[in-house]
Amino acid sequence: MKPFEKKIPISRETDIIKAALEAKKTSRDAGFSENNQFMITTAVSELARNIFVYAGQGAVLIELLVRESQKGIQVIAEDNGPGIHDIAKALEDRFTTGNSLGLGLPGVKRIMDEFIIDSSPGKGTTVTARKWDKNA
Amino acid sequence: MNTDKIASDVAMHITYGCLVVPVDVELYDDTVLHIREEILAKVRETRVKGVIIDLSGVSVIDSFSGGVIQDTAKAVSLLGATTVISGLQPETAAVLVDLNLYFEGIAKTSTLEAGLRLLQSAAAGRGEGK
Repeated sequence: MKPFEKKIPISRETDIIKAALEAKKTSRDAGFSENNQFMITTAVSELARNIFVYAGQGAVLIELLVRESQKGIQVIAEDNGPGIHDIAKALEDRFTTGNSLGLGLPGVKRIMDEFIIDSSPGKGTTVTARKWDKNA
Repeated sequence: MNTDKIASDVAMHITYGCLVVPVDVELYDDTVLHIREEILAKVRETRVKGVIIDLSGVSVIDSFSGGVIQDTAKAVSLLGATTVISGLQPETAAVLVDLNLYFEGIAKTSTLEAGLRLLQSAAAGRGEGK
C-alpha cells in the first residue's frame, strides 16, 4: 500500500484551486521547503487547469514518494479528453489551442524536477510530474 | 450547481492616498476577476495615484490569476495610477517568471509597508502627497 495517495476529480473550474490547495497541504505536511510547496501548488493548479480547459474533466492524483535521502511528491493529471496532436508544440511557450493563457505545460515542466507526458489524439492525456526535496 | 461558497470580497481601504488591497482569500478564477473589477472601479472613483495589491495571504498563484493581476496593473496604469505588488517572496517571484509572468513595469516589494513607502516616495518625487 502506498503511504499517501489522494485523488481529486476535476470537473468544475473551482476544482482547479481545490486541487492546488490539496497539493499545498500535502507538501506542507510532508515538510517540503516553502519554495517547493509553492512550485508544487502552482504546478497542480496548471495541470488541473489544462484538464478543465482542454478535456472538461479528469482527475489529479497526488502521491508522496520516498527515495534514499529524499522525499518526493508525484502528481498525475489524467483525462480522457481529445489528447494532444503535437506534444512538442504543446510544450512550446505561448502555444495554445484552448482559452487559457497557454502557459501551463512549459511552466510545469520548468518548475518540476521530472515531467512525463503521454498523450495521443482521441486517447486522452496523462501528465506525470515529480518534485524532490531533501529529507529534514 | 456550484455549491461552494467562495469568498470574493476583499476589504480594500485607502491610506495615504493609496488604495490598499490585502488579498486574503484564495484566487479562484471568478474571485480574481471580481477583485480586478473592484480595483478598477475604486481607482476610477477615488482617483488614487497608487495601488498596492498584497498577495501575502494567497496560497495559489497560477498563470490565470497571475495573468489577471498583471492585466489589472496595466489597466491601473492607463488610469494614471501605479501598482505595487507586495507579499511575494523572491522565490515566489522566480516561480512566476517560469510561468512567463514577469509583472513587467510593476514594482514588487516583500511587505505591504515597503510598498506603501515606495508609492509615497514616488508621489513625493512628483511633488504630490505633501
